[in-house]
Amino acid sequence: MLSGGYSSKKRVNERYKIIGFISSGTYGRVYKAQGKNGQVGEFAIKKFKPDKEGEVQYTGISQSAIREMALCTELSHPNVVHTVEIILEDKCIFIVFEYAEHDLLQIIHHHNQPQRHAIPARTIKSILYQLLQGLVYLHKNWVMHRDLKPANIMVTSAGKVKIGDLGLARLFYKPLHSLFTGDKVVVTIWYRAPELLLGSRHYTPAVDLWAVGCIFAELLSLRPIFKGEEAKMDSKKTVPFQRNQMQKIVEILGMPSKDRWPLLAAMPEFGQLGSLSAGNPRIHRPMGLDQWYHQCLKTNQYPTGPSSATPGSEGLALLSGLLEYDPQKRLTAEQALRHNYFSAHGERPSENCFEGSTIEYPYRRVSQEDNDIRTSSLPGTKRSGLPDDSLIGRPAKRLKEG
Amino acid sequence: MRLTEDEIYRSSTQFRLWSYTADALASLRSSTNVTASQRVKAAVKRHREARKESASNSEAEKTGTENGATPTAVLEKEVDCLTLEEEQKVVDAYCKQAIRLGEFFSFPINVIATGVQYLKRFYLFNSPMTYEPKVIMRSAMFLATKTEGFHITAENYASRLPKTTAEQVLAPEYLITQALRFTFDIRHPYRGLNGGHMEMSAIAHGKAAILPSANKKPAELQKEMLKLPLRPNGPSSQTTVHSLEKRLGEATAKANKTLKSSAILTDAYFLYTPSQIWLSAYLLADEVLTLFYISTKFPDGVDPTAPAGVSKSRLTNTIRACAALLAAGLSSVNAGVEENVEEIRAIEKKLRHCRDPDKMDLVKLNKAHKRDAGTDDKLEESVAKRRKLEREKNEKEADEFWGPELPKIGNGVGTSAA
Repeated sequence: MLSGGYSSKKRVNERYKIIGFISSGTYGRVYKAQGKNGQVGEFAIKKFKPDKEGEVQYTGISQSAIREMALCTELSHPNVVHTVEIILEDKCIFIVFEYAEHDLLQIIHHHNQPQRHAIPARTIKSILYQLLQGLVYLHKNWVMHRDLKPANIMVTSAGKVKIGDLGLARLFYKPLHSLFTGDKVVVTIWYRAPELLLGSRHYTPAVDLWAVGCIFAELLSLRPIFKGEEAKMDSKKTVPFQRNQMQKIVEILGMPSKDRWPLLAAMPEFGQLGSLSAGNPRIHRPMGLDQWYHQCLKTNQYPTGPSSATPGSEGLALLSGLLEYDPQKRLTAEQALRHNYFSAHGERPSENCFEGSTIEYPYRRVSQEDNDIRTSSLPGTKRSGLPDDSLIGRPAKRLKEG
Repeated sequence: MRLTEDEIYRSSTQFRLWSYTADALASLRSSTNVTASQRVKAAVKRHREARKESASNSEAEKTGTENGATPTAVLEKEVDCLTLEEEQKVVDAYCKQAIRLGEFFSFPINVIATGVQYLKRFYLFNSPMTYEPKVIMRSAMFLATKTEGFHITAENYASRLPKTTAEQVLAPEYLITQALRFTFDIRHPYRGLNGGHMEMSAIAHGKAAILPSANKKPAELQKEMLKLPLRPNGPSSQTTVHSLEKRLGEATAKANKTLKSSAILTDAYFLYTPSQIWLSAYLLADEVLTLFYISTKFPDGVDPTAPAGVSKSRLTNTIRACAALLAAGLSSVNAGVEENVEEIRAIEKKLRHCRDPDKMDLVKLNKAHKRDAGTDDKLEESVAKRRKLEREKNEKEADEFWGPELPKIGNGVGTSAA
């Protein structure tokens, strides 16, 4: 519940003890904090970059801060990161979130070290189930997340999955500026839906389901399924066609066809598809999702034959429903939740994704380098300082783990 | 997971934090007025004492001068604060002004309606005696452009307003953010109206999507609809689908007009839900159609004492009450600006003498709060020059629209601005 009565002048340092710094991005920085003076528990505090009034473009509270506040205050669901309160202090905005010890990126990373060992099938099922429940809630509230990726899916030590970072989320009944013109920050490319890659200006919640498909695949294989290289904007600031990313998708799924995707030819970048195969013979001999899936299960030594220790054939069926080219045919969050995968073997997915697992995941590392949340001139918060999250190889800049 | 539209609305901040009963709304406003009056009186007293002290100090220095006391005596009058009613009238006037401002910028209705609601929400907890409505209005509308994704730069926005700097627009942003309790999302009735129109149009074409509880077929509903009387209690008619479409179009246009004016200016958003509001606006536009539409949501010939019958009559009563509020709002809108311009001018004159002296200069207050405000006015020369040209052009445009200066209600806010 948001307390923040209009007259209350709470101060961040009176209510929270900053334990360390978690991550930074274009928006500002995130800190880990301990509650004090009656505020109990651990929290993640997002501090938006303070205003720089000298700047030419200075135009008040940033639109992204306003959007995020507007969304966070409206949403409340067990599978969406909970907003505890918002504090305004010395013209800085702090959003206080519940704290989660883990995230999917960290979990995937842990399973890659010291050598690759698969995430238990039941863990994956529970993660996906909870993720989809959170997504159904968001979509029912007309919110599309637009930036789902492993780093943005939090997991508490009790195994509860929470969708985080609504910094790019939008209400989809409000007029949407296209991804390419309106927003400076670009959605992480590996999880980007084909309709976006093909230049669709108006898109739907289906983009989130594509990302869920990519995340599902990554949980299974422990590697991003479509790990393309991002084409950078050229000097003319025209948005490039993400050829390499589209190639990665086609290498596995095969070329999209007008039969399967009737509106394909209407996509602005449709013409680019023809030249994808130039110098890339794999485009003509795609692996196929089935083969990718079976190879993946084999590599990661999931048992063969039906059992709850393997995602099995239902897993493949769900995955192909999510990685469906045509956004109109792609499973919705609700449909995905009703999929056989979640009811096979008469076992309902657990509400705790760690249930039955003996794997110990390391705690989130926080840095002590900068613990003064109130200092305004921070390295890395200058607009010209660090590049966009999306421009760096891995989705979010974070401290090295392990 | 089942989530109905109602449940989603009930979880919104508009419902949880910004919905009131009429009584609660009245008492909230009254306590805001009382608190603000006390604060103004206390602040004025403090300022007078400080002035007296410095006056007597200077008197002590130049002994023999008796004149020093005279200007102080003039100020000694007890502060005459705005009454609750006067506060309301000023705020209402500025809400209307806010609509004109939004129209001047050709903002979409969502931006305008959101801006007006910000203004109304702000003055539930704050008095015009504390914060000047003209200043808050400009910022509230600017904030609304950000929420509704119709953002323009502060510089551009300010340059098109008479005698306004970007600094003045931005200064109260945090103040408003705090007053809004960080809730920026406003639920409007416009989409509901469009949905209702499409639904009714489907019924007219015999393609109604029927609720499972209703015991009718689309064709039967269509037949009924074609026979609807033209006015309440009128004889039943026999019309064509084509003229029914026309009737629907007219009713929707009329309802839309109500939603764009009266619905945002009255307290409708505080008292009713978006769907109640659009149904009420439709009721004012075409009562027969509205009641017919509502009846399609309930089983035919429902017993008034059965749960469905009870909720049907509750709904109708609520909508009638809301429609009465909207109708009153409409007649106030239609009465025009000229009628109460004298009255507003008088209140603003009174307001000039009961402003909270501590909150006069928001730009200065805002700066005092800022930790990073060191680098003022260090814009590159070329940028400054370009802006000046842009400003002059826009000002000319603005003058053409706004006409001559409004009656002065300024009190020095922003005189320090560049």
